[in-house]
Amino acid sequence: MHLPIKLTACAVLALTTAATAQEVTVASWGGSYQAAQSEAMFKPTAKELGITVKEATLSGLADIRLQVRSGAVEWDVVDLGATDCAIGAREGLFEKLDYSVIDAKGIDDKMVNDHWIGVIYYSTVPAWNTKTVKAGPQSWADFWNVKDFPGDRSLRNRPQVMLEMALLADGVAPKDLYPLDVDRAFAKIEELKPNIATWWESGAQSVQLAKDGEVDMIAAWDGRLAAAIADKAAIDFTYNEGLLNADCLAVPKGAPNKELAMKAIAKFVSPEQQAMLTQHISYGPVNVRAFETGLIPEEAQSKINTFPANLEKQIVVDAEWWGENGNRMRERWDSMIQR
Amino acid sequence: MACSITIRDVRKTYGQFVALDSVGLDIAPGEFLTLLGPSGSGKTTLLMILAGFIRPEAGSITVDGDEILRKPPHLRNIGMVFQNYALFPHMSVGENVGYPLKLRKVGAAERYERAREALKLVQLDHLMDRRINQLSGGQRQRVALARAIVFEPQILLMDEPLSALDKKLREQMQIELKHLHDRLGMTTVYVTHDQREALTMSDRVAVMNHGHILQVAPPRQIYERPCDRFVADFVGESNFLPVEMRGGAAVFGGIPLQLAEGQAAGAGGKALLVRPEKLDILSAAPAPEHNPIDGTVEELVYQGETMLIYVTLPGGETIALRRGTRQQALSEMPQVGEPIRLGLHRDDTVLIDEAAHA
Amino acid sequence: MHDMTACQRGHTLNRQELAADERREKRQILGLSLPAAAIILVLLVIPVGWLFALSFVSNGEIGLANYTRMVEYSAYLSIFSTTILVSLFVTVLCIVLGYPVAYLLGQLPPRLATIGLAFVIVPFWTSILVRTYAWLVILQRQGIVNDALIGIGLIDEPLRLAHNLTGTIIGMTHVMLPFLVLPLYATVRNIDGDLMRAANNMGASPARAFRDVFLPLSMPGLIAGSLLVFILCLGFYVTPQILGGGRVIMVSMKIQQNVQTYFDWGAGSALGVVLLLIVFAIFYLVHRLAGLDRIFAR
Repeated sequence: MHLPIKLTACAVLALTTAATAQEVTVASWGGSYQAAQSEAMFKPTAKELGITVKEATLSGLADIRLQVRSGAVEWDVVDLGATDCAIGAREGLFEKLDYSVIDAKGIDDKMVNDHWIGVIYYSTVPAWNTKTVKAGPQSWADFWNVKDFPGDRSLRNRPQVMLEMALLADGVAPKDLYPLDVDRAFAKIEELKPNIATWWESGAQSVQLAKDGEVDMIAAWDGRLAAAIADKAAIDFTYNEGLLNADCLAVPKGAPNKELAMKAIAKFVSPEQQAMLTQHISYGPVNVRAFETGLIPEEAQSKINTFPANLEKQIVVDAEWWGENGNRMRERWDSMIQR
Repeated sequence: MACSITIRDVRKTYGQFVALDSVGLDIAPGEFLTLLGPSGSGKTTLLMILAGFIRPEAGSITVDGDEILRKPPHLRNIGMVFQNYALFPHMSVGENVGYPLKLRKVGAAERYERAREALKLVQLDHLMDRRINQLSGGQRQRVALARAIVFEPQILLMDEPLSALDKKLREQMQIELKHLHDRLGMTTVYVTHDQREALTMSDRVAVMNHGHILQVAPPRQIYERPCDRFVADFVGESNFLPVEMRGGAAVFGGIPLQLAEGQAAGAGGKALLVRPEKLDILSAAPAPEHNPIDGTVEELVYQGETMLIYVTLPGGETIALRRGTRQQALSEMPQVGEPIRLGLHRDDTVLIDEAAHA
Repeated sequence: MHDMTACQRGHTLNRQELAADERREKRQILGLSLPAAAIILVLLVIPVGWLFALSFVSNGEIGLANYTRMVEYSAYLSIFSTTILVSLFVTVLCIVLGYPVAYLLGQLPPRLATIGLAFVIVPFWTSILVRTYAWLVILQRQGIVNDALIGIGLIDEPLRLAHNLTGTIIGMTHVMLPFLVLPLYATVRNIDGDLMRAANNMGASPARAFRDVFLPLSMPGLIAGSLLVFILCLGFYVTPQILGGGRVIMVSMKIQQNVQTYFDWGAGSALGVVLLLIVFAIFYLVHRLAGLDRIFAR
């Protein structure tokens, strides 16, 4: 009498295990970004690997910290800002990535880390209102040159990327950027401070400021600017000295389906899926081999920030440096703004 | 110190409502004059015009010959006691009374002394440090009075200052105010709707109604010889009996009335004013100086110190008479339903013109 | 005689029953106040206690890290002083602008005063966010004010009215004004007009009477309104965030930022605790200077 019941229980257990083993949960930022990821990455991956990809949304590193610390990890792959990845890695919140499964070829070294890997690029570029500015700044040095390029400016109210911009404007060569000469960078920002009308807080606000002519020049994100330009806003920008920043993928420590997560990440950063993502949202693929797949139409390629011709004009931000120094910089930044 | 006030043709309207209709009045130096009237009669308006809080449309008010109508209130140097006292709740009793002196730049020490003296006049000098909300109604009244006289104004105005006090306290204060006035001698204009208060305190009473002054006279004359039906009715209790004029004589109930000296019957509609306490109950004995009035006892009302006896006359009118309540009088009291003969002494006979304010 | 005996027996008659009634009534009153007490406990005491406890936790470790940070970086000192100065300035502006409004409303006949009061209250019906964006539209470089001033040739260059302290203070003052006017109006309305007339009558000019009588009597409302405005200002977020152009950093913004930067509630809690202590200190100071109990008891 007892035997069949035990057998049944075992069978059920085996079935459940089999089912969970074939499932991976990915947490991202929701909205149009996650919708694009879902179309270009999650659904194809589920199909190719024959698994289920469950989706969740997150609001930042704090969520992962909570799950890992409480030992109740629900997510297998998380999408975070590159700096958050760097911080999370330092706190030991992530599993080591298995690069025998993940092929990082075609991805910038700065975006390939033991515990995380980049997934998309966005770029902070010099932009201007075409109604109030005839010839826009073609470099950060121009952006800082208030004599030849008069007008109100706006920078983001964060030290990240702004310090890099300042150093480039001050004549530091891109290859010598890191580690950042912080004192020099802050001094350069102080120099421009009187001409900064607004320190912007949100992406939407940055576009509004440029579009309405509230400021004449602004350092803002390419994706948002491109969308506004497509919407006939009087804005233009250049990729010259654009600063590429990334979103990254990582596997929270103790993730239930670690091995499968590696396989999924390998798919997400593959040239094919990277190429497909550009069809759905105007972010750049981290993997430059995406352009070789033939999946991105010729005329669309030049608009993408990581298109080789664009990429060579830009500099990739070192997330690791910011993971290490970000908080200190943030406090110093606030003190500078307040003065 | 006291001064005279001359009021000429003062007029004030609020839209269609005439608050004061060309009022004129002369107030003698040191006089205690009361403006008596029902609410809406214009008495408070006139007081407020005197104080400077209401600007009339026309007229003149002079104090010892000086026009004051165009002076702002703070330059008129007139003391005033408000109906609700208007004591400053954020100041102590002493500070309240000292405030007019402070405005006149009197030094702190002298201010204190004079405030204390003023409070002494109202027997409150022991409460100088109290806060206003710790005082009783009567005490507040006295503080308000002390504050109004401390700067020795030539004129003192009082706007129903006793109306918030209970009856006993009110009567006591009436006497005190009168004594205080006798002592300080400042020209005082007092507003009240309480006729007894007016009679008790005043040198003269000005009875007002509908923006007019109807009669200005000493209390006794106002009560005993009102020249107007409204005055007679408003001041004291009154019965009015219709009088027929026959050949120059006033006739009531078929009998010619014996009149008091100076009460010529004259022409036009007249009424006989009969005050309840002026009536006697006539016994069988003849009373040649009384005008007899026959009737039937209708109701007896016991009121403590007096008793009201309502009597119905053959003509259908009801009149009241008042009797004291000594035990002897009570035992002789007529019973309801009994016939009764009342007598009005010749000297108490007052004829009122019916035409003016019927 | 009968009455007398009833009086004497009254010491024991129904004594226990009446006492029981009294107790039951008290219990009922206590019972009625229980929900309010529970709400205060759940919505105030527990969260504040939790906030306090959290402020001593940083990255999962117990310690003062969240507080030492405030000493370490000059930003915090200037953020607290900015917050207090902006709040003070807005409070003073509200007094300057709001007092005459409350005074006028207090003098008007009730019907007109109600209409006037409605004008003061109506902005309450619109969300702060909407009102703040409206100010942005009005004040910005290509906004209504600058367009108009340039249009009539009064200025050549647009004035910097938004994205800075000016904009923040204009916006905050607008939002805060009703909080000053309402309690002040309630007090002013109850000042007996005869008091001013009495002062006048005793020889005080209108200005003097205002200073000696009206102003002191309006103090409870003025202090209540000012405290309300000041304390609400200390915790203001939306308006400085939108109109401050990133230049005006108030404590509330830094709290939000710290939670974001350090991924840690504790980093924000510590700021909250310090802000709370500042509020307590201000209350205590006002109490010592002006005697809150006396002001509010009157």
